[in-house]
Order: sequence, then C-alpha cells, then structure tokens
Amino acid sequence: MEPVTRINQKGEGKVKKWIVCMLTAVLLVVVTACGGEGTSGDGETELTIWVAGNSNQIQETFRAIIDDFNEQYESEGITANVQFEPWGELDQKLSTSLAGGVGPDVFMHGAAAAAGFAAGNQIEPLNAYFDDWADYSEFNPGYLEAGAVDGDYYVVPIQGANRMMFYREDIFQEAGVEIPETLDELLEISEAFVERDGSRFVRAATTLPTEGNDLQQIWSAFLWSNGGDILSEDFSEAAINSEEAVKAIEFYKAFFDRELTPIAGMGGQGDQHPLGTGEVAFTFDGVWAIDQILTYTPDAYEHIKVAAPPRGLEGTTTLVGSSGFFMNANSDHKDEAWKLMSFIGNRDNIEKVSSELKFLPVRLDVAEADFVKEDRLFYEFVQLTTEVDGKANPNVPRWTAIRDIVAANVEKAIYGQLTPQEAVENAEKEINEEINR
Amino acid sequence: MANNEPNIPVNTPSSPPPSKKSYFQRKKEYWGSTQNRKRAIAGYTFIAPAYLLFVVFLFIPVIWAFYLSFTSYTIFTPGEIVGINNYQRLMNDNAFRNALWNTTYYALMVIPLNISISLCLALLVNRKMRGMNFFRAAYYVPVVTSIIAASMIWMWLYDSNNGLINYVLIQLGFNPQSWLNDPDLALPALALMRVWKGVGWNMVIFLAGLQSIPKTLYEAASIEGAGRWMSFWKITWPLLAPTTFFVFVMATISTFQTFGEIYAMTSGGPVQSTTTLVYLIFVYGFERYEMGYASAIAFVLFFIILTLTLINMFITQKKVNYDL
Amino acid sequence: MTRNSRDVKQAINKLWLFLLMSAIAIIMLWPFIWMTVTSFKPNTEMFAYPPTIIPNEIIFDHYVAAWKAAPWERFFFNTAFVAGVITFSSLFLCAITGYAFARLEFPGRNFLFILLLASMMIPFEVMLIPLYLIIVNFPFTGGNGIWGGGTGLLNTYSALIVPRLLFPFGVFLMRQFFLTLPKSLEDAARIDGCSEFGIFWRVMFPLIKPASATLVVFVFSMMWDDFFWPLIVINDQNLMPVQLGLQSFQTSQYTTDWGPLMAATVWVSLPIIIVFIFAQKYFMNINISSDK
Repeated sequence: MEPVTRINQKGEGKVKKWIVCMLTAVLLVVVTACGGEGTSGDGETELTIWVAGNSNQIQETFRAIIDDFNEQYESEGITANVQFEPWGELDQKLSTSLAGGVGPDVFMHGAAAAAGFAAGNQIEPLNAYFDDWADYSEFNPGYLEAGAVDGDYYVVPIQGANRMMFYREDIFQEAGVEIPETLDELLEISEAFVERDGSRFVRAATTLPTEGNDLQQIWSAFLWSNGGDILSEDFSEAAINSEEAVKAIEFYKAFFDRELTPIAGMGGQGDQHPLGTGEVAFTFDGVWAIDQILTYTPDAYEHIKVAAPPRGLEGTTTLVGSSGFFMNANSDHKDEAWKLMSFIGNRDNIEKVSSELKFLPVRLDVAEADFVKEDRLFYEFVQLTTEVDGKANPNVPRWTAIRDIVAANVEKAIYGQLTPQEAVENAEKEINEEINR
Repeated sequence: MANNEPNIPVNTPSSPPPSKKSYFQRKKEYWGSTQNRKRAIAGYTFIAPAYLLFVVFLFIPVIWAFYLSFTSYTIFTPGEIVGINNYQRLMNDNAFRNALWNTTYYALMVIPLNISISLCLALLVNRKMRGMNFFRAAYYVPVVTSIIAASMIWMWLYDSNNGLINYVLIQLGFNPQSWLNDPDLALPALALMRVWKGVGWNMVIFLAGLQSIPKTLYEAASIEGAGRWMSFWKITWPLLAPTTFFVFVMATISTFQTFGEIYAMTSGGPVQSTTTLVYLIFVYGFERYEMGYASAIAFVLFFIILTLTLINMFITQKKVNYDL
Repeated sequence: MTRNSRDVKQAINKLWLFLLMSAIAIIMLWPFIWMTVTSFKPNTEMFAYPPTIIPNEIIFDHYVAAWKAAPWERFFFNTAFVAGVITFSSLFLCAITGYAFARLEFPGRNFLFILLLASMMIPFEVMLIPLYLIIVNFPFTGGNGIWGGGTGLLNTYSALIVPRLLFPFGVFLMRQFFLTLPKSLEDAARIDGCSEFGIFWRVMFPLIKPASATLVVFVFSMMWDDFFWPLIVINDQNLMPVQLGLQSFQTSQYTTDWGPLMAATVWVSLPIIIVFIFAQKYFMNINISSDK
C-alpha cells in the first residue's frame, strides 16, 4: 500500500487553503448578487411586461413597441422592461412569480385563463379604464368579451385565435363536390376524398384532434352550431347532457368510425400542414395554418381556400379565442401599467403585431388594412371573423378543469369506451361536481 | 487484502455493538471514547456544508409542501387547513387511481429494461478496443440530447402515417400501428423512449462500478478455471452490489418522476393512458392551481418510492455478506 | 487447436462484437443523426414521405437562421459558467459528504443519509413554489432585509448556482463508491497520523476517480440540459442558458420552426459530447489493485 505511506502532513495545509479559497469563491458569488438591480430613483416608474412566446420575430416586434413607449413616456419618467416567456412554460412561470409576489405589472396570456386569475384576485378589472378609453369601440367585441368575467373586463386583446374551415379547392374539384350547406352533408361527401394504400392513408378527408384543448375547441364549435352548450346560461350548472351534444359527438366520431381520417391524425410529421401536402381535403384551423403552408409547402398556397364551417342543426358558430394583456392586481403602478396596455392596444401597434407576426387582428379598424389585403387567405380569414357568429369558451373559475372533463369524455366516446350518450351524461355529472367543489 | 468492514451499503441505525445496556449508558460510553468523539466530530464537520444547503434548499421546501398537502392552498390563495381531506379525496379520485396504475405499469416496463440493458452495455464497452471511445460516447448521446428536441424527433418516428417506424414495419410486411394514439401502445412507446434516453446514464455508473473491481480477483478466478459466466456471478455481480443499488434507486426515482416527454408528446393522452402521477400533479398544481391537492399526490408518490427503496435496501443488505 | 485458428476465432469474435456494438450505436444515435440530417434539408424536403436519408439538397440556411435567433455567445457563456462552477463545487461537496456517510461513524449517520436520499423522492413540481419563495425572500440580497421586501436572489447567477450546489444523488453516488474501498487503506493512513481530512483528501478521494468522472459528466450534462429552473428564476436575457435559446424556435402556441431548432440542438449538444469524450478516459483509468 505504497501511496498511503507516501502521505505527509505538509501537503494538507495546501489543500485546506485551496478549499478555503473555493468556499470563499462560492460565497463571493452569493455576495455579488447583492449588487443586483437597484431600485429606481424618485418619480421614476419601472414597469415589467411579459410577452408570451420568445421567437425572434416576437422579440423584435415587441421590443420595437416597448422602445416607442419608453421614448414617448420618457418625460413622465415611465420605463417599461419587456421579457419574453416561452408558451410551454408560461403558466408555471407566471403562477410561480405571482405567488412569490414578484409578478410582472402587465402580462400576456390566453383570455380563457381570466376567470382563474380573477378568482385568485391576481388580475385587475379594467372597467374603469375602459370607460375613458376612446379605442374601446374599435376592438372586436368578441375578443373583449372573451376576457370578461361576471361583467368585469380584464383583457386588452392582442391576438385572435378563431378557427375556420380551410380546404383544398383542387381536391374538392377533383372529387366533383362543393362545400356543402350542412355538417351532415360534409360527412357524406368526405368519402370521396379518401385515398388509401393498404392501411396507410395517402389522403384522408380531414384531420381531427383526439385530445386536449384542441379537441374541446373544435368539438365545442360543432356543439354550438347544433344549438347546444357546455354550461347553462348563467354558468351555474352543466348543460352538456343534451341531444345536441350527442349529435355533435356522433358527427365527430363518424369521421373515425367510417375511416375518413386516422385516429392518430394526419400531418404529424413536424410542422408541415397536411393541407399543404394534399394529405387532407379540409381542416378546422386558425390563421397559424397559413404560415405553416407558406413555410413548408408554398406551392400549395394557391389551391387553398378558407370558408365558414357548414351549418349544424342551428347554424354556424365558430370558436372565438384570443390572448391579450392582463394587469397584475398587485402592481404598484396600475395607472402607468394602463398607459402601457392602452399604448400596445393602439391602432399602430395592433397593426404592427398583426402584420409582422401574422396575429389575427383584434381591432375592427385593422381588418381592412393594406397588409391584410396582401395575403389572400389572411384577408378572407379576417373577413370571416367579422361575419360569422362566434362564441368564446365560458369564463368560469374552474374552466380548465371543466375543459378537461369535456375533452376527456368526448375522447372516451371517440375511442369507443363510452357511448355518446354515456359520455355526455358522465360529463354533466363531473362538471356539476367540479362546479360545486 | 483484509477488509474488516463488510461491504454493506447501509448499516442499520444500531450499528454500534449490540448490548443490553440502556440507551443512555451506551450513549455515554460512545462519547467517552476519544476516538469515537474525534471521528464523529470529523463526520459532522464533513457533512455540515452540504447539510446547510440541504436544509435551506431541499428540506424546508419539502416540509413546506408536506404542510401544503393538508391545506386547500391554490397558489393564489393561502387556503385553509383541511386536515386529511386531500388524502381522502384521493381515495375516490378516478384520475388518481388511473395515474397510479399507469405509473406502476410504466415503471415495471422501464426499470428492469433500463437496468439490464445498461448493465449489458457497460459490460460490452468495458474493454480496450479500437473505437471504444466512440461507442461509449454514442451510447451516452441520448442522455445529453435536449428533451424538447428528442421528443419532437420521437413523435415524428412514431407518427402513424409518415413515421419512420411504421415505414419500416410496412416494408417488413407488418401492420402499421397508431403508437402514441393507441391507448394500449402509447405508454409502452413512451417507456421505450425513456429506456433509449436513460440507458447511457446507468451504463456510465455501471462502468465506473466495474472499474472499481480489482482485476486481481478475475485473474485469480481464471487461474482457478472459472469461466466468464462464473466470474460474472461470483465476482462482478456481488461486488457491483453497491452500484446496482444506486442504479436501482436512481432509476426508480427518475422513472416515477418522468415528466418532460409526456408533457411534450402525449399530454397524458390518449384517454389518459399516459397520465402518470407526476403529470397529474402538474395538471392539478399548475393548470387548476389546486396545489394543496397536488402536494398530497406528491406525498403518495413519495411513499411509494421510499418503500421501494427501503425494500431494495433490505434485500441488498441481506445478500451482500461476503468477505474479500 | 493451433495458434492460428485461435487467432482467427478471436478475430471473428471481435468482428461480431464490433458489428453488435455498431448496430446498437446506430439505434442509439438514430434520433441524433436524423436531427442532423434534417437540419441540412430545405423546408420543402424536410418532411417528405418516404423520408430521404441523404438530403437531395444540402443547405446551411437553418444554421444561419438559428444563430441569429438568440444571443448564443452570451447563452453559451452563462451555461458554461454556471455548469462549471456547479460541477466542480458539487464534486467536492458530494465527495466529502459521501465520504462521511460511508466511512466515518457518527450517531445519526444513517438517519441523516436517508433524509437526504428521501428528499429526491418528492416531485420537483410541488417544491417549486416553496423554493421560489425562499429564493425571493433570501435575506440581505437583492434589496431584501431580513424578512424580504426585495427580489432576493431572483435574477442572479446565485439563484442558478447556490440551490444546486448539492445533489443528493451525487452524495449517494460517492457514498456507494467509497463503500467499495478496503478499510485497510484508511487504517494505514490513520496509523501514519493522517488527519481525518487528510485521509479523505489524500488517500480515498483519488481512488474513486471513475466515480468522480461520472459525477462530473452527470452534473455537467444535467446543468447543460436544464432550462426549467433557469426559466423560473431568471428574467434577464443576459443571464439565460443555452436551452432557453432552443425554446425560441416555438414560433407560436401551435407551431415550431423545425429547421433552426434541429440545427441549434446539434450545436447545443456538442459541448457535452466533447466533455464526455474528454472525461471518459478517467472512467477507465484506475484500478486499486494495481498499487503494488
């Protein structure tokens, strides 16, 4: 055991010194932290704003807007700092920082979260500010309504997330059919689009999500088009156990049962849009589809059209979704925060984000702007959002749980684990339990 | 080579010689010995920095979360103490029962596969050969591939219509599968990916463990005419016990806590077939803000993992009683 | 058996081994290879069916686009700095703590060890908010008094480093390896009059180099891969890690820019692969029986 005997005590002093040095270094790192951000001087206000999404384009666009704001409000001593948070982790970061009492003054989020935040007293009602806001009437009322809870408005919309029907005109022509009047007829003609190679779909009629938010969003539009609803008018109880809901599930499920589309969906290969590749004849999608088509399959663009979805039992109702800016109820600078929010919501800035980021415009006066007209599909889509009936998901405090219940039960029906009738009964029961929890 | 202390990974808390003396007497005797005192002081000093960090950044949050599991805390509202209501609610929660089953099923698939494959890989690469550096690195690459990108690639591989896996199946004359959209296949598909991602990690630990086994033992064994198989069971396997114990505990912890790819690839579906306990904790805690309830689920998970670890500890301790 | 035929047999064995290992390597590397191939394909070819293994057209646009998408130099520095400090500090901390748990006897040792071990079994999701509150209210930093008031360690390197200096799994790993060392070594050193620290540092620690190398590789790759904790505690882009750069290719709630993401993933993964290749010579370096 030679190495052992070679050990001498002299070396140890050195080692100890080294360790003391290292621990000091670690401590130093902690201490230098003290020299972090200082508080701003008298009369100066620093605002923090979080934008959802951290892609290059989003960062550039919003940085420019915030720079303009800072320039304009320099004399009043207001500065805004913008931060960009990835969509996927937005919820966790936001709720954590709000819980820590260090949340941003203004933040962007999907409007559907309004009720949850409001129930926890985390967001400020904007009614008082809206009263003196000249731009108020320029906003598409659907988007303002999407962020309202119990008559209180909470959101300055920035981006619409409606869904319409996109379709391939050439495939429709090839099959010798036209966009039908009703959803039932759509189902009937879908057979004509399907092309298969053994068990593999070369082309399916459409692609439909089978889980989560997407399922709830698309299916709910069919439910509303049938005249049904998820909750009663005053949101006090479930109303999903209805003939309309059963019909909507049967319609949805028929696409899978009649092998018009695979249960795994079409177009799972990355971000390419299945309409662009001609793998489906129609989809129910938001404006983001346009960008996907242009990026990965630009040649297909000319064949693609957008239309209002066919009528259900009662007519056509599409989903109105939106995201926008909320004000932190615990902000120390609410008036300044409002200045920032209304600045972002002015015509120029809404036009800027809509044109540069292809956000669905939330202001009516932007709907006719030049940049909208430049892109045929975008323009048609924007027009449809102002013409077709739209409805937002209900803003109730336990919405995320209710949404999951709806999606889970429809999903069980699709997979044949429940009959449509059982699914709506089950959903009704679970939603009522959730509301009364 | 004399080894006075058997290689027992964990000594029972009563490792000082058992005697009929009272607790206090034993204590007094223990502290009466200068050597004991010296060594105990050294021991406490050595663990002090780590324990300081542990208490502040791990222990307090854990105790805090434990407290929250008895409240109706919702992130935004402090809530109130509700006693064991959260735990009672668990008993009747179908989503919880389903997640418990999924987690168990997932763990049963992943842990044995992960450990056996990584041990085989470690034995394979534990030799000198040209290009071995490349192979070792190649098997480790999945560990360091970002989970976001890895999930995207695997979703694509699993795609039912255009995925590479189904493409190969069709070429070989098999039926294509819906993989992530088939309630029976989604969890096994995720398990397979987890094994792919995890074996490199355990391979490295086994490799380090194999390297710590004295070569002289193998030489002696081969002189005595023991074959490879024999020397594996008589030397490698028992001497690897502390490593295997470590690998098992770590694999259990990480498998029961898998979240990244479930979040990215299936969001718990189809029909909740991939909703594991940790995914459920995320849904309750951060989507519905019911952090109190989520914490209760977390502590059920904690007791499962702890029980498995203690059982393993017990088995390892019994088994590894040899002398070098 | 002639000598020659034994050689041939050995060569055939070696060949089989080589083929087997190559096959496994292809399976293990496949997603990474696929990622790399994809990063060179134009958007229109990227998702073609049947897939093209070798791109018809090789382009570098995605690399250019990806490089422009984020301040990578800054991100790389941040990650390297944080991962480096954590790796080496935690190596020492885990080793000395693991050593104490394995080789020094003191009352409560097993209890304290199991406590440490148990803390790993709580899902991080439920510890997130308590831990965050500790960071925000950490006394005497970031404008805090003793009971908070400012932002504490939030938005500092310390928030990234200090809570993660200690890895229970590292202590556990080191402990398991210290357990395998023969007791005769430390007894001999003790007779020589070495201090307890000297025994650890001069005798025992150098003997577990494979474990140390393992820990270095693990901690470094964990820290390199991590983005969730940095995302939560860092708001300033100047302090953000590389993994957050990868997040920036999600162009909307529904879409991701695949090409640049694949390209960036390739270069983000490379440093850890290099560290691994460098560290692996220590996996194979040591043999305690060879000290005669």
